[in-house]
Amino acid sequence: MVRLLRAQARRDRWQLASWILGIGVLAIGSAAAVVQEFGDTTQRAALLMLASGNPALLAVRGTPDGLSTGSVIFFEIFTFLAVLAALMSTFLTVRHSRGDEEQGRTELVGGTPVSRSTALGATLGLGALANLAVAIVVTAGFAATGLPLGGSVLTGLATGGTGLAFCGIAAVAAQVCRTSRAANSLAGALVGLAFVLRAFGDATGTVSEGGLRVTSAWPSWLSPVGWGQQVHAFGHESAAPLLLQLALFVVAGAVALASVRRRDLGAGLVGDRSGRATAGPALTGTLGLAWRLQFSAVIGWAAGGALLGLFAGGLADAAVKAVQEDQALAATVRGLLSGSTSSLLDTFVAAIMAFLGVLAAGAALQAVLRVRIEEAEGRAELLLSGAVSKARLLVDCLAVAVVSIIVVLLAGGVVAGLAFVGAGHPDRFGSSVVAAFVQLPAALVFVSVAALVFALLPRLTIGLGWGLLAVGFVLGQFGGVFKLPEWLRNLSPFSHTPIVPGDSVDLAPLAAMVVLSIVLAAASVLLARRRDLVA
Amino acid sequence: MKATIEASGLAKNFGRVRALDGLELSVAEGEVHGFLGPNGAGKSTTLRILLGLIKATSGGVTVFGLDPWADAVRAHRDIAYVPGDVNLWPSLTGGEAIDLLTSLRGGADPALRARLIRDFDFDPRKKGRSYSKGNRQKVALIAAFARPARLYVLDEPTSGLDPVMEAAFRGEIDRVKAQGATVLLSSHILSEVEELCDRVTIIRAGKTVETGTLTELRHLTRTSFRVTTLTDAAAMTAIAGVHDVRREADHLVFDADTDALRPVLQELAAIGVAGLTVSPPSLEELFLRHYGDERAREVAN
Ligand SMILES: Nc1ncnc2c1ncn2[C@@H]1O[C@H](COP(=O)(O)OP(=O)(O)OP(=O)(O)O)[C@@H](O)[C@H]1O
Ligand SMILES: [Mg+2]
Repeated sequence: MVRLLRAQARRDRWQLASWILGIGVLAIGSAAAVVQEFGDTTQRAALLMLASGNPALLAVRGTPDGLSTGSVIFFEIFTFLAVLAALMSTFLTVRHSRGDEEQGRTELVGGTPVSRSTALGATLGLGALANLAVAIVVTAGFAATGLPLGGSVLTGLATGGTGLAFCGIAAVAAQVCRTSRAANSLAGALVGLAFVLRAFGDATGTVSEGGLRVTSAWPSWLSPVGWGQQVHAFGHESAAPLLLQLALFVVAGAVALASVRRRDLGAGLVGDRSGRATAGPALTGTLGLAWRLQFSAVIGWAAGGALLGLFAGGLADAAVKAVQEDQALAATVRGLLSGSTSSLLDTFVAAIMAFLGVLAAGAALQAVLRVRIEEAEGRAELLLSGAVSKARLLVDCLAVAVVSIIVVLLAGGVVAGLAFVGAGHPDRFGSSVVAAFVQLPAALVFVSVAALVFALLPRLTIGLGWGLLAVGFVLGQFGGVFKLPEWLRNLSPFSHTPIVPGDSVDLAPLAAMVVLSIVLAAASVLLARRRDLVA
Repeated sequence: MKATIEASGLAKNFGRVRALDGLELSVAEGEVHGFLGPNGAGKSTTLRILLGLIKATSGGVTVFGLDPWADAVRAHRDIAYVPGDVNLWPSLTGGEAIDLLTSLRGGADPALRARLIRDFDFDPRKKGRSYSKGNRQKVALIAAFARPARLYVLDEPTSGLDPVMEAAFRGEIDRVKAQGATVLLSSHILSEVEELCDRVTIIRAGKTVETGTLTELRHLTRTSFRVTTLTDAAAMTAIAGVHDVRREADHLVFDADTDALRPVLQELAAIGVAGLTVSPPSLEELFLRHYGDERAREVAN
């Protein structure tokens, strides 16, 4: 077993080293950044109060727990460290269990006089060692920044503990699924679920100590990432949640080991089902193909949109109450949306809908970038050898992109409206849907710009497409908070989306963005016809 | 006979790389045309221009009398294409990919599709990501042959296929040829071209170096003789057009130019032989003669 462990570690040394090092660099880098940027107590207080009034921020980051430098760093960075450790553990475990089995390495080992569960035992051992290394690196990174040792150790253990828990989860996923791809997807989805549960619990938590502390609601306690968070390093510290993580590792690991002893090599609980022998009626032509390729992604984006809608409609009242208690905080929240004179409730809805707009743009971008992926991976060559023009391929992807925007906005808007109805504001249903749909023009701009890049600089399409969205997101959504100059913020299409619902809504920028998008899209279709296929 | 494909003075630059440099290609209607050349000669580039996927830098090209760049969609209704490197959609099954691709040309003939799947021993239910290279190739081949076309453009179509499948492939070529279709087939596999093709074009470094029927091209090549005799080599060496004379145990081995065949046969009759093997020149030799000197120079440098 030790020999197998050593062999697995050897095969992985570079990969694991870069994961662990990456986590360490992130820990030390972000700790140093917080120390520098939020050096004095008032800055930290402003940050925490802003966060506790904004469920979206809580959902992304976690819950604040007091003013000390350490706890602010823990609040800012822990969830990311934990998710990275979880992903590292997932991939590591699946690679050495189902991955090896798929490639026949397990068969090789199985031929030697070791029991069938030995290899999995070695993998779990390797996972434990890797997460111990993560814990040490994170502890060292925090302590090196000058933070108290106790809290640093707790942060390290919570990070490694989250990874450890996911070693167990991934080991079970690798037993359930027949391919490593499916096992990685399943375990990866569970990492996502852990993040979302925690996000939901944290966003719906109760604010106390004048906005400096948020106590998570129960959903956070269903998530291994949430458990890590509950150690409250540098604040109300507690090591007990670490036991939950350890227990999950032990139980899940034992289940996986038991299953490996019982089943045949190569078998799983759910197989990679064989599919259709002929195409269904929907899969004819390139439009059917574009939609088929985007369908499951749109469902994912729409689910995210629906979740945001739920936040918007379900939390609005609570958020408004929390904010109203604090004038300074109210001012900051308004700063998120410059120039707004609308009521706080409207402001809150508009702020969340702005995030929905980013989701919609992301979904649409994925649809339009597909045209480049098809070209780069050589499948466009097959399609274009049929009676299909280059313009047609792009137009189909643009059409699917527009549909994706509408689906995501509809999901977010309708769910927000229904949540408002449920919370006793039936009058807000219509305005929620409208607030969602004003996000459409900005998303269209990203789509058409990506199409233009595809037509002119095909090799840069993917990088530039996502890069521009990221820049637009930061400038548009955080430009106000960071007090960036007006002209810089105005570069982002998101900055031109009016605040809806609101008193005076200016529709001119929306119309301008729609026209601009149509012009750019038309130009890119014409240009795409004129260029060579580029691998 | 009308020309289905006509290209003259075809040139293509990729940045500073000159992939094609005045290429000539003429494919008559109803013929199976072999398109040969070493790696990087420009075969795939030429086929992509013929399909209007990329635009020629200069030179004239027509397919069915149409400009393939401007009239791509019209021309493609009658063209079946198998690319050199077949990539499939990971989430689509092989059967779905076949139906999708044929749907772009008007849909597969169901009976033909079923027979091809059987002949190529193909499992259409697996996902694209789980197919081997040979199986991906089969998807493109089945999609190409499952609906009749006037022109089949095939870029190294048998790479990755095992010998049984190659035989199935040759059967399909015979079938579409009998139906009057034109086939342009690029290849490295010379025996395949020798067996299937009526005419051959050989290119090197983006230029056409040879074109004609195999018989015409064989004029350029030598016939190999392996003679069982004890007579010494001197008599043969004396004949003009006889090369590489050597003795291997009781065999006399040499190559003869086509012009030297008559004197060689007379000489053999005179000296008396106990056994004789004569092999026709293979395209392998054609290749070696056209590119061998090039290689030799490269090695010398
Ligand atoms: N998109 C491209 N950009 C730059 N150079 C290219 C491109 N496509 C082809 N080339 C170059 O053009 C030349 C001809 O390539 P081509 O693929 O047509 O050769 P080929 O005869 O098909 O070779 P092979 O037998 O290896 O398939 C090569 O030197 C290749 O590197
Ligand atoms: Mg090629």
